[in-house]
Amino acid sequence: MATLEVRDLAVGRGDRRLLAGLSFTLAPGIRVALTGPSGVGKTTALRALCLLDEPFEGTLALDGASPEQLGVPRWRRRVVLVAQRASFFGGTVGEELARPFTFRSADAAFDADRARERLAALGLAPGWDAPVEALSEGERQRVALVRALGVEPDVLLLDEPTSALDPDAARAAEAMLCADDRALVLVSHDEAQRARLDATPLDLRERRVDA
Amino acid sequence: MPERGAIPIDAWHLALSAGLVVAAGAVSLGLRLDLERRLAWASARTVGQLLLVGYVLGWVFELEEPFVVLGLLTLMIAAAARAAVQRSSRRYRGVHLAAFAMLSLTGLATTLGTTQVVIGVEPWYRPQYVVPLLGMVLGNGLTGMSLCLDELLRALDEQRATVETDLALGATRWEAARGPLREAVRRGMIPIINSMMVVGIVSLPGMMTGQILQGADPLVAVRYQIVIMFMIAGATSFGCMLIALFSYRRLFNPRHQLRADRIRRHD
Repeated sequence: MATLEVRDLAVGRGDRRLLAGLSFTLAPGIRVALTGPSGVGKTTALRALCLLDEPFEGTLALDGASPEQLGVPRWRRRVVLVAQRASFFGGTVGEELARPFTFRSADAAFDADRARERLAALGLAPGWDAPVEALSEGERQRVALVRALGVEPDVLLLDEPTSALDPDAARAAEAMLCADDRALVLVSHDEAQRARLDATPLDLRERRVDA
Repeated sequence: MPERGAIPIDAWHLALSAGLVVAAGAVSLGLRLDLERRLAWASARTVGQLLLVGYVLGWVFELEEPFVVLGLLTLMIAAAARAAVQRSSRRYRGVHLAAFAMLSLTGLATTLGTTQVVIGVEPWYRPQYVVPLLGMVLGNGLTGMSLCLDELLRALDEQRATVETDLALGATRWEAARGPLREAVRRGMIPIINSMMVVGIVSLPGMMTGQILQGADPLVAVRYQIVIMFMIAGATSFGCMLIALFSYRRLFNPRHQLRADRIRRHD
């Protein structure tokens, strides 16, 4: 696992700058929770960290390597975003989990056994061949989490990762997220969850750009 | 010997045919469809536009000036490009120019290619051939292009989350876009494939009807129609592919980011 360095990042939506001066270092196993009221820019910050939106300024590096050096797709494979609402492509659970391994940036083969273990650990009863569209919102959220973990990223960016899960399933997901020394950047309204994940709070209000 | 050339219609008989539109207006009034005004306006436009184009064509045909012909072709392409964009429910900056460029390229290449290589028209700008053939290619090409654009922009706008899911999992912009691109080109090509399926069975194409009315041998008319269908199919598929690829370049940047913010809705 690599160390993510974020230096003086400024992010926003469209032309509007929301946050500036965001700096932190995430060594393996470090977990950070972005906090602040709705609209402060938590999701925007996550999107900039994986370069789905271009940061206004600042630098990013994984063990000293910039996104330009790695190539943006490879960067995103190592800093993976799990969006608040899971999206799929009309396939079965197995197909959706294997999809990231059809991309050129894939540097390993799909480990189906590992994926099955993770599905089981999250209490996902529906089978490998069930169409994802037929699953409940909570089941889809767990499949999305397993899909992201499957690419074995160095850093996971989690936007309300257990919002559709019942408490037991949420605990199982948290346990899985803490099982290895993957760094996490978490957005969660659940203060207890932030505590259970032992995530250091990073209050974005202090980084707000007030235009 | 059968008489060659269509029987001319004089002004009096033309007015007589207007009785059919008046009958349609009566239906609208009787059933309170509230379409009389639109029908009247559409009829007036039909007369005005066609008379105008008749005079313009007569003038262009008589002049046989290459620059005048090229000017007319450019106007036709510009009108087709405008219509192609207008019919799509979304657009982005620069799409008009792109549609114009792609329709020029595919329209002129297929039309001039066909008139030169297949039919052997001399001189190359002979308007009796070039103008109606380009017109048919553009009429179909713009339909395909507008469907293709509409589908692509709708997908990238409404299914932004799925495209970005692929990107977030390490897809290149091409890998993330190829599904929507394929669907868009497909949608643009379906109408021409459908009309190739039924041509001659359900519909007699306008040009063939015209040639037969002119007294042409149906087998000659059929050969022309086959060439036309192939021209249209080629131009439409290339037009759709090119506009889809251009849109892809505009809406995904080299940093593999989807610029859905560049897509604008209009009604």
